[in-house]
Amino acid sequence: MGACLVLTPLVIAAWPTMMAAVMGAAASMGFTAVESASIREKVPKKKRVETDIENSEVVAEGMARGQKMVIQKGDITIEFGRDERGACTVCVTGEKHSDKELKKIGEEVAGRVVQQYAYHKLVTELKQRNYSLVDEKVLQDGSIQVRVRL
Amino acid sequence: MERPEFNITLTPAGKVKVEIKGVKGQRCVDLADLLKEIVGKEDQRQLTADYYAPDAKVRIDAKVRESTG
Repeated sequence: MGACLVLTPLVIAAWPTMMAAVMGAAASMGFTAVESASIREKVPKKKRVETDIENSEVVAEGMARGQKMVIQKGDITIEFGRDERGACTVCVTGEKHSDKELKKIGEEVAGRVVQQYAYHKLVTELKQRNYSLVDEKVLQDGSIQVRVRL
Repeated sequence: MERPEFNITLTPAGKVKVEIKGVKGQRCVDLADLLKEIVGKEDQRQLTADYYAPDAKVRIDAKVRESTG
Protein backbone atom coordinates (compact mmCIF):
# COMPACT_ATOMS: atom_id res chain seq x y z
CA MET A 1 0.00 0.00 0.00
CA GLY A 2 1.20 3.56 -0.71
CA ALA A 3 -1.08 5.88 1.22
CA CYS A 4 -4.32 6.14 3.16
CA LEU A 5 -6.43 9.29 3.00
CA VAL A 6 -9.56 10.50 4.73
CA LEU A 7 -11.37 13.24 2.83
CA THR A 8 -14.41 15.42 3.46
CA PRO A 9 -16.37 16.27 0.32
CA LEU A 10 -16.99 19.91 -0.50
CA VAL A 11 -20.46 19.87 -2.01
CA ILE A 12 -20.51 22.74 -4.48
CA ALA A 13 -23.12 22.18 -7.12
CA ALA A 14 -25.96 23.57 -9.14
CA TRP A 15 -29.48 22.80 -7.90
CA PRO A 16 -30.16 20.02 -10.48
CA THR A 17 -27.00 18.22 -9.33
CA MET A 18 -28.09 18.57 -5.70
CA MET A 19 -31.51 17.20 -6.57
CA ALA A 20 -29.91 14.19 -8.22
CA ALA A 21 -27.87 13.53 -5.07
CA VAL A 22 -31.01 13.93 -2.93
CA MET A 23 -32.88 11.46 -5.13
CA GLY A 24 -30.06 8.93 -4.80
CA ALA A 25 -30.02 9.33 -1.02
CA ALA A 26 -33.80 9.13 -0.84
CA ALA A 27 -33.87 5.90 -2.84
CA SER A 28 -31.23 4.29 -0.61
CA MET A 29 -33.22 5.16 2.53
CA GLY A 30 -36.71 4.29 1.30
CA PHE A 31 -37.95 7.87 0.82
CA THR A 32 -39.95 9.01 -2.17
CA ALA A 33 -40.03 12.42 -3.82
CA VAL A 34 -43.28 14.35 -3.49
CA GLU A 35 -44.71 17.55 -4.91
CA SER A 36 -43.82 20.32 -2.48
CA ALA A 37 -47.11 22.15 -2.95
CA SER A 38 -49.17 19.18 -1.77
CA ILE A 39 -46.98 18.70 1.29
CA ARG A 40 -47.20 22.30 2.42
CA GLU A 41 -50.94 21.90 2.99
CA LYS A 42 -50.63 18.73 5.10
CA VAL A 43 -47.60 19.27 7.32
CA PRO A 44 -48.26 21.32 10.45
CA LYS A 45 -45.71 23.95 11.35
CA LYS A 46 -44.68 22.45 14.67
CA LYS A 47 -42.13 19.64 15.14
CA ARG A 48 -39.62 20.92 12.62
CA VAL A 49 -35.90 20.47 12.97
CA GLU A 50 -33.69 22.43 10.62
CA THR A 51 -30.06 21.92 9.77
CA ASP A 52 -27.82 22.34 6.76
CA ILE A 53 -25.35 20.19 4.88
CA GLU A 54 -21.86 21.11 6.08
CA ASN A 55 -19.36 22.30 3.49
CA SER A 56 -22.13 22.77 0.93
CA GLU A 57 -22.86 25.52 -1.53
CA VAL A 58 -25.73 25.47 -3.97
CA VAL A 59 -25.23 27.66 -7.00
CA ALA A 60 -28.28 29.91 -7.28
CA GLU A 61 -28.20 30.17 -11.05
CA GLY A 62 -31.05 28.19 -12.57
CA MET A 63 -32.84 27.84 -9.25
CA ALA A 64 -36.20 29.52 -8.71
CA ARG A 65 -36.56 31.64 -5.57
CA GLY A 66 -37.81 29.52 -2.68
CA GLN A 67 -37.53 26.34 -4.70
CA LYS A 68 -37.42 23.21 -2.58
CA MET A 69 -37.20 19.50 -3.02
CA VAL A 70 -39.31 17.31 -0.75
CA ILE A 71 -39.02 13.63 0.10
CA GLN A 72 -41.26 11.60 2.36
CA LYS A 73 -41.39 8.28 4.22
CA GLY A 74 -44.31 7.53 6.52
CA ASP A 75 -44.91 10.62 8.64
CA ILE A 76 -41.38 11.98 8.04
CA THR A 77 -41.08 14.80 5.52
CA ILE A 78 -37.75 16.33 4.54
CA GLU A 79 -37.43 19.56 2.61
CA PHE A 80 -34.18 20.54 0.90
CA GLY A 81 -33.56 24.14 -0.01
CA ARG A 82 -30.96 26.87 -0.11
CA ASP A 83 -30.33 29.57 2.48
CA GLU A 84 -29.04 33.13 1.92
CA ARG A 85 -25.43 32.01 2.34
CA GLY A 86 -25.90 29.35 -0.34
CA ALA A 87 -25.75 26.34 1.98
CA CYS A 88 -28.08 23.44 1.32
CA THR A 89 -30.72 23.36 4.07
CA VAL A 90 -32.44 20.27 5.43
CA CYS A 91 -35.76 20.64 7.26
CA VAL A 92 -37.23 17.53 8.87
CA THR A 93 -40.80 17.29 10.12
CA GLY A 94 -42.60 14.34 11.70
CA GLU A 95 -45.42 14.33 14.22
CA LYS A 96 -44.62 10.92 15.71
CA HIS A 97 -40.96 11.63 16.45
CA SER A 98 -39.08 13.63 19.04
CA ASP A 99 -36.86 16.57 18.07
CA LYS A 100 -33.81 14.44 18.83
CA GLU A 101 -35.03 11.69 16.49
CA LEU A 102 -35.82 14.20 13.76
CA LYS A 103 -32.36 15.73 14.10
CA LYS A 104 -30.76 12.30 13.81
CA ILE A 105 -32.80 11.52 10.69
CA GLY A 106 -31.80 14.85 9.19
CA GLU A 107 -28.12 14.14 9.83
CA GLU A 108 -28.37 10.66 8.33
CA VAL A 109 -30.07 11.93 5.20
CA ALA A 110 -27.56 14.79 4.88
CA GLY A 111 -24.72 12.26 5.11
CA ARG A 112 -26.27 10.13 2.39
CA VAL A 113 -26.72 13.15 0.12
CA VAL A 114 -23.03 13.97 0.52
CA GLN A 115 -22.19 10.31 -0.15
CA GLN A 116 -24.18 10.33 -3.39
CA TYR A 117 -22.68 13.62 -4.52
CA ALA A 118 -19.11 12.48 -3.78
CA TYR A 119 -19.67 9.13 -5.48
CA HIS A 120 -20.88 10.69 -8.72
CA LYS A 121 -18.17 13.34 -8.69
CA LEU A 122 -15.40 10.78 -8.14
CA VAL A 123 -16.67 8.32 -10.73
CA THR A 124 -17.11 11.05 -13.35
CA GLU A 125 -13.74 12.67 -12.76
CA LEU A 126 -11.79 9.40 -12.62
CA LYS A 127 -13.42 8.12 -15.82
CA GLN A 128 -12.54 11.39 -17.56
CA ARG A 129 -8.93 10.73 -16.58
CA ASN A 130 -9.13 7.24 -18.10
CA TYR A 131 -9.05 5.30 -14.87
CA SER A 132 -11.02 2.03 -14.88
CA LEU A 133 -13.71 1.15 -12.35
CA VAL A 134 -13.20 -2.55 -11.84
CA ASP A 135 -15.51 -3.25 -8.93
CA GLU A 136 -18.29 -1.56 -7.01
CA LYS A 137 -20.41 -2.74 -4.10
CA VAL A 138 -22.64 -1.48 -1.32
CA LEU A 139 -21.67 -2.78 2.11
CA GLN A 140 -24.06 -3.78 4.87
CA ASP A 141 -23.54 -0.51 6.75
CA GLY A 142 -24.50 1.49 3.65
CA SER A 143 -20.95 2.38 2.58
CA ILE A 144 -20.20 2.36 -1.13
CA GLN A 145 -16.91 0.69 -2.02
CA VAL A 146 -15.30 1.31 -5.38
CA ARG A 147 -12.10 -0.19 -6.77
CA VAL A 148 -10.34 1.83 -9.44
CA ARG A 149 -7.42 0.62 -11.48
CA LEU A 150 -4.78 3.08 -12.62
CA MET B 1 3.79 -6.71 -6.67
CA GLU B 2 0.34 -5.19 -6.16
CA ARG B 3 -1.35 -3.67 -9.17
CA PRO B 4 -1.69 0.11 -8.89
CA GLU B 5 -5.21 0.92 -7.78
CA PHE B 6 -7.41 2.97 -5.45
CA ASN B 7 -9.84 1.41 -3.00
CA ILE B 8 -12.39 4.11 -2.23
CA THR B 9 -14.97 3.79 0.54
CA LEU B 10 -17.75 6.39 0.75
CA THR B 11 -19.40 6.14 4.15
CA PRO B 12 -23.08 6.92 4.80
CA ALA B 13 -21.93 9.76 7.03
CA GLY B 14 -20.40 11.46 4.00
CA LYS B 15 -16.69 10.72 4.50
CA VAL B 16 -14.40 9.39 1.78
CA LYS B 17 -11.60 6.97 2.68
CA VAL B 18 -9.03 6.06 0.06
CA GLU B 19 -6.31 3.43 0.02
CA ILE B 20 -3.73 3.90 -2.71
CA LYS B 21 -2.08 0.58 -3.45
CA GLY B 22 0.81 -0.54 -5.60
CA VAL B 23 2.13 2.97 -6.20
CA LYS B 24 5.50 4.13 -5.00
CA GLY B 25 7.30 7.37 -4.33
CA GLN B 26 6.22 10.76 -5.63
CA ARG B 27 3.52 9.29 -7.86
CA CYS B 28 1.70 8.23 -4.71
CA VAL B 29 1.72 11.81 -3.45
CA ASP B 30 0.54 13.10 -6.83
CA LEU B 31 -2.40 10.68 -6.81
CA ALA B 32 -3.31 11.64 -3.25
CA ASP B 33 -3.27 15.31 -4.29
CA LEU B 34 -5.49 14.51 -7.27
CA LEU B 35 -8.09 12.80 -5.08
CA LYS B 36 -8.04 15.68 -2.63
CA GLU B 37 -8.61 18.09 -5.52
CA ILE B 38 -11.59 16.06 -6.76
CA VAL B 39 -13.27 15.47 -3.41
CA GLY B 40 -12.52 18.66 -1.51
CA LYS B 41 -10.92 18.67 1.90
CA GLU B 42 -8.25 16.40 3.33
CA ASP B 43 -8.71 15.37 6.95
CA GLN B 44 -5.90 12.88 7.20
CA ARG B 45 -3.08 11.47 5.09
CA GLN B 46 -0.86 8.57 6.03
CA LEU B 47 1.99 7.53 3.77
CA THR B 48 2.86 3.88 4.08
CA ALA B 49 5.99 1.86 3.39
CA ASP B 50 5.48 1.74 -0.36
CA TYR B 51 5.72 5.53 -0.62
CA TYR B 52 9.28 5.37 0.65
CA ALA B 53 10.29 2.62 -1.73
CA PRO B 54 12.29 3.81 -4.75
CA ASP B 55 10.13 4.58 -7.75
CA ALA B 56 12.85 4.32 -10.37
CA LYS B 57 14.87 1.32 -11.37
CA VAL B 58 18.44 1.39 -10.12
CA ARG B 59 21.27 -0.21 -12.07
CA ILE B 60 24.46 -1.05 -10.31
CA ASP B 61 27.59 -1.52 -12.35
CA ALA B 62 30.36 -3.17 -10.42
CA LYS B 63 33.89 -3.45 -11.61
CA VAL B 64 36.58 -5.40 -9.98
CA ARG B 65 40.01 -3.93 -10.44
CA GLU B 66 42.82 -6.33 -10.38
CA SER B 67 45.70 -5.06 -8.32
CA THR B 68 49.19 -5.36 -9.79
CA GLY B 69 52.36 -5.72 -7.92
